[in-house]
Amino acid sequence: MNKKLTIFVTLMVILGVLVGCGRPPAETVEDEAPEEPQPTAETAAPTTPPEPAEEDVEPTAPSEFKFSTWGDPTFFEDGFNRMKKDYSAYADVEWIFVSGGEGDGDLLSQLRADWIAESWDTMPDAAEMSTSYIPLLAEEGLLVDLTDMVAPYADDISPAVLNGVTHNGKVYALPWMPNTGMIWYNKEVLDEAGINADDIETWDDYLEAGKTIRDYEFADGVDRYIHNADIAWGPGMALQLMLNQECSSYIDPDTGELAIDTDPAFRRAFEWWVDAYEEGILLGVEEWETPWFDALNEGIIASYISANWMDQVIQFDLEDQEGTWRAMPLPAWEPGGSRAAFESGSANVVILNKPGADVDLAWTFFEHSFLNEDVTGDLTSAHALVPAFLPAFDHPYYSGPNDFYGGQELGKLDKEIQESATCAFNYTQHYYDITDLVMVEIQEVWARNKDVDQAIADAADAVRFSIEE
Amino acid sequence: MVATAYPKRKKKSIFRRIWDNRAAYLFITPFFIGFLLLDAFPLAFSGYLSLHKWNGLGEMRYRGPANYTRAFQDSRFLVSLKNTATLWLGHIFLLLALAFILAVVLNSKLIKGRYVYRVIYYLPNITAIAPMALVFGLIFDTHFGILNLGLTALGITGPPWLTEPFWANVSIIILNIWSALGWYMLILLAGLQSIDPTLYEAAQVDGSTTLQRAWYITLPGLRDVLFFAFIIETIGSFELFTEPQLLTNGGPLNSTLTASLYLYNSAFSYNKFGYSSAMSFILFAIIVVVTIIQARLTAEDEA
Repeated sequence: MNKKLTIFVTLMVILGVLVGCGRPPAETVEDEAPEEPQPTAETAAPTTPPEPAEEDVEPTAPSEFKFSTWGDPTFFEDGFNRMKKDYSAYADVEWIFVSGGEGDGDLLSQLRADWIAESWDTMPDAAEMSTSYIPLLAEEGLLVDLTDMVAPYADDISPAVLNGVTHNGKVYALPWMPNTGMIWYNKEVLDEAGINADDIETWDDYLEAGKTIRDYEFADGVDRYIHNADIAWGPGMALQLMLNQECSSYIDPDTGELAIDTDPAFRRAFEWWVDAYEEGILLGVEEWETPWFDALNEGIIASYISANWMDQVIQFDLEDQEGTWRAMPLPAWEPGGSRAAFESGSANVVILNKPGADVDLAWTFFEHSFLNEDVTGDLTSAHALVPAFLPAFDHPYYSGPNDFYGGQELGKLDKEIQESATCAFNYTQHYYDITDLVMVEIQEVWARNKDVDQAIADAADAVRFSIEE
Repeated sequence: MVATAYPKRKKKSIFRRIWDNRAAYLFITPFFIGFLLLDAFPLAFSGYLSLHKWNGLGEMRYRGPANYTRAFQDSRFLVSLKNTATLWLGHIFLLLALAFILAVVLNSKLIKGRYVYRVIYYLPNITAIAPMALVFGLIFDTHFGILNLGLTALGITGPPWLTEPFWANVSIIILNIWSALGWYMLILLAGLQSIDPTLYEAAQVDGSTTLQRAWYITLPGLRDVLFFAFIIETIGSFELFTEPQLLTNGGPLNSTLTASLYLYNSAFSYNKFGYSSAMSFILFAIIVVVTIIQARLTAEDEA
């Protein structure tokens, strides 16, 4: 064979393999003006934010800004475009959305791959991040320390929310929406059963309400339940909410020791779920699947222990629920006790600590979108979301009645809970491992294979074995 | 007669031999580049990783064989191996028996439209497993699934298909058999059609019954195909992941937690990449041992 042809073909083959093994480029989104939120009777016209001082304006800006989330990026893109309008130095920066996959786990895998491969071009500049992953990422140096940047706003964010994103005394994320714990209830079902939600002040009251619904003969003859429990998994996040409201966690934040077999709050919450199951007040369908949505739609699940984001599910995933649902704070363990907790912490944004990261641009975006008295309320209300920045609750969307929920002032409720919360759940890199082990033991008790003492002891043993690697 | 002395041929060096056959090597190079990059390197790296503790981001810390010894003390890993073996035994014989019966029936010229039936039975095999598992989840739902609604209509109380350990395993076995039946039916059908028909004619002339022909001609004729199917399905069973992840997520009570699902969770949920790699090599060793045992048993039979 001709020598030159051989060399040419060899080079083409190698090139083909290298190209074939390359990653696809990040999605790009055309830089277009965002839709202006439609004014309603509840919203005032947004005021023009002040021009930034000359010394705050970067003389040179990058050509693009990459942001990653697993959810809908339009909210973040809206915020970025608003920032660009007010900061002329960044007017020409192109917004590039890098998909974070189907969930926060997918995003973590992508960041992990980029970090190990030092693929800084594909790694986003900033990303949305779940609270539970922040300790791991902060420990390994992936996140920029935001402590000094957040400090001026510390009084305007619930300390419990800010503590959730603090690791070893430093703040590594900016919470933009706390997952404020609430119980959403179907008022029509509770009214028919003769239950006044205002009378549910403790978890014992909630249990009793569950028995009332269990025993009541509804007009349509359908059996109803006060809550659901995924029998094949367990109470899940609801257990974590109950611990958080007692300033309890799986791992003691002060000592770093496992607390589930020594903390009475854990035992109490564990026993509550055992009692609830044995009383027959829990429907047992797999959550986030069609039967669960149908059960919520039809009021077969009369209430749901969740967080403020459940509003999105009720409004957009269920059908014809206007006027049917309300929200209430979590019951306390004792009368007058804490009714504040956060489910999985908060939704946060982080700046990735990669070489050449434009921290100023990313922080300007965050600050303008999520810590601005004039912008934040507008931005979050336009997307039916809830801010972590407490002054934003002055926006009419949050300070007024919500027609979808029968005129209830949901914004006021959320703000009250945030302000009254005192502690964050202590997330560690073992959080998911511990959760899985605890859920199995709750199922063991439900199945009558063990009693509570044995289950908690076995959970503690299994966790110690697993985390003391 | 004079012996002719032939000159000794100088042995070519390996590089010379490669150069002489450079065209051929060039054509097979893409495969080997892909193999090295996508198979050999990940395998070697995984082996290296199995000797370390690593959370996927920070520094790797050498642990030697500690991950391997730890795995044999890990109750979840041992339970996952037991579950894997249970699911394997619970479905493989039934699957191959059904595939055999189906193949025999659809090989018969008496069945009109047998080609259409072959296609229909094969369709689940080419359907993506993820949507199938999600649909089966709806079918098997205890309260609202159509299976239990249908059973209720017949006056039968449907079992808790996905929320009770025994029935959760049954659900996965049903899904597994449903999706794989068509493929094994096809494999066995091809095997049936390779059996010499004159053997059947001769047996018929000798007055044999249908069952006798099946036992003395069909089954021995399918021995190699059945062995192949058994090995392939065994390997697939030990790698069972998608069905338990999507249908039951390893529950209830870890009763459907398979070895593959547990080592996946260990890596991507619990951030234990080194430990997960060690478990994957243990699983690999088990598959190899099981395969060797099967091969030896079959070889002894033939001997």
